Amino acid sequence: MARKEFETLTPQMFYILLVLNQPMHGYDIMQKVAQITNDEIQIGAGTLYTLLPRFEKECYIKLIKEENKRKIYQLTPLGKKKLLMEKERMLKQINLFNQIKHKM
Amino acid sequence: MKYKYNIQPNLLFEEDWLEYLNQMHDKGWKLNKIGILFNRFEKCHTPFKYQIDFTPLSQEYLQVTQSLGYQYIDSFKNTHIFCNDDILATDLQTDEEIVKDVLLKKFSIKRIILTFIISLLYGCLGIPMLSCFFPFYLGYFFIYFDNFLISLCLVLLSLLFFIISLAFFKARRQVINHTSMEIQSKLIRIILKITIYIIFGAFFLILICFFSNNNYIIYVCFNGVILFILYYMIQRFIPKQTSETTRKILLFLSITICISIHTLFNNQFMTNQTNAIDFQEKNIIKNDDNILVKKTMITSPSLQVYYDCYNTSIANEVLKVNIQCLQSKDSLLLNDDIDSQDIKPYQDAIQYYHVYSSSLVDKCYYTHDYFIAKKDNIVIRCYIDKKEDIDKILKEYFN
Repeated sequence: MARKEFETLTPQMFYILLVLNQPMHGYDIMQKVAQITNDEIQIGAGTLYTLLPRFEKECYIKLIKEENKRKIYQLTPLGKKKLLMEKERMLKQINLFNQIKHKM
Repeated sequence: MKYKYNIQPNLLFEEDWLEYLNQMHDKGWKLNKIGILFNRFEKCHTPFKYQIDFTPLSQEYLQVTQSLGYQYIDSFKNTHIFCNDDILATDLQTDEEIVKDVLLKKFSIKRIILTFIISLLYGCLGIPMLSCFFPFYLGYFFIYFDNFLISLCLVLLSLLFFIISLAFFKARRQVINHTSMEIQSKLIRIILKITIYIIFGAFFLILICFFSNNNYIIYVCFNGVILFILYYMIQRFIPKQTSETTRKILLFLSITICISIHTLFNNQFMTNQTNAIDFQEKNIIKNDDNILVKKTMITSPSLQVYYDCYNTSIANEVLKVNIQCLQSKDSLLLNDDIDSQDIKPYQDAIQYYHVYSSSLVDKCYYTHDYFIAKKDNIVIRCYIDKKEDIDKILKEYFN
C-alpha cells in the first residue's frame, strides 16, 4: 500500500525540519545537515528543493523572507509538533527494542 | 567545437535516458542540446556524471546546483539533465521516497487511463478508415493514397498511445512494488521508434500532398526520404568495426543502386510523359489530388473521370482497378468514384469489357455505357451513349 505523504519522516526529511529551527536558506540547510551528522547524511539539492515547497504546503515551515533571490525558511509550531511526534515514534521504537532485547 | 547530431531516441523513462547518455559518453560525446528530432552532442573526453532531475527549475535552485558543481544542460517534459565533473559529488536526488512519490505522480492512474482513451479515440477513427483498403488493391491504394496515409497515421498513433499507456502501467507497478525500474524492453523501444518514424514520414508526405502540385518536387522528396532511410540504416546496422572508408563506399553504392532503380522505374517521368490537359473549358465537379494520382471529375460534355498519375506503373494499376469496378454512372456520382466494396476480381470483371483498338492510346476497354483508356501516365473513364463517341473523346484528350 502506498505510504501517506509525511506520515513518517525519512531521515532526510527529519534533518531538514530539525535544522530549520533557525531561519535558513536551501544551501545552508544542506551544509548544516552534513555538518551536524558528520557527513553521514547528505541531502541532494533536488531532494531539498522538492521537499521545501511540500513542507511549506503542509505548514511545517514558512517562508520568512527572500534575500538575494534566496528563500529563507523557518520551522512553524506545526512543524515543531511534527518533529516531536517523530521523536515520540522513534522513542517508542527504541523502548520496544530494549524490552525485546532483554528477552533476547 | 565539434558537434554530432544524434536522432532523438524518444525514450519514456529516466533510466533509459541515463543509459543512452552514458553510452554516448563512452564514445566521447557529451549532451549539448535536446531537440525534437535530433540531440546535439559535443566532443568531450573528460570524465563526468549525468544526473536526471525533476525538481522545478528556479533561479535559486540553479544557483545552488551550480555551487555544487552541477552544470545544467537541457530539459525535456519537466525533466532536467545536469552534469558534474566531480564524479563523487552528492546526487541531486538522495531520498528514494521522494523519487517514488514523483514517479507515482508521473505514472498516475489518471494519466494511464487518459493515454488509453486517446489510443482508443485514434483507433476508432483510424481502423474503419484503414479497413476500407482491405482486401488490398494497388490501384485503389494509389487513388486514395492520402486517405491511406491519414488512416495509417491514426492507427499508428493509436498503437503508440497504447504502448505508452502499457509502459506507464508497468512502470507504476514497478514503483509500487519497490522493484528497480526495468529498462524499457527492447521490443517496445523498437516499436516506438518505427512507429514514430512512420508517423513522421507519413506527415511529411501528407504535407507534400497539400503543398505541391509539381511532380518534380515529389520526385525529389521521394528520393530524399529514401536517401535518409538508407543513410540511417547503414549508420545503424553496419558493424562499428567496419572502417570509415568501407562504410562510405557502401553508402555510396547503395544510394547509387537505389536511385538507379527508382529512376528506371520512373523512366516515363524522365522522358516524354503525356501532358495533363487544360481543364479551363470543362465543367469540373471535383478535383481530388494526392501525391501519386491527381483526379478530376468532369460533367460536360459527358461524365468523365481523369487520372493524372505519377508514373506509368501507377497508371496501369489505376486502369486495372477501374476495370475491376463495374460501376454505373449514378453509383459513380453517388459513391465518390471507386468504392472498395464494389471491386471485383480482375478475371471476372474483364469479361464484361470489349477491347477498343486505337493508335491514340496504349489500352482502351469499353462496355455499353462507358470506356476506360490509358496513355502513358493518364487514365480516363468516360460515359458514352454510343461506341462511336469513343474516338471523338480520345481525340479530344490525346490528339
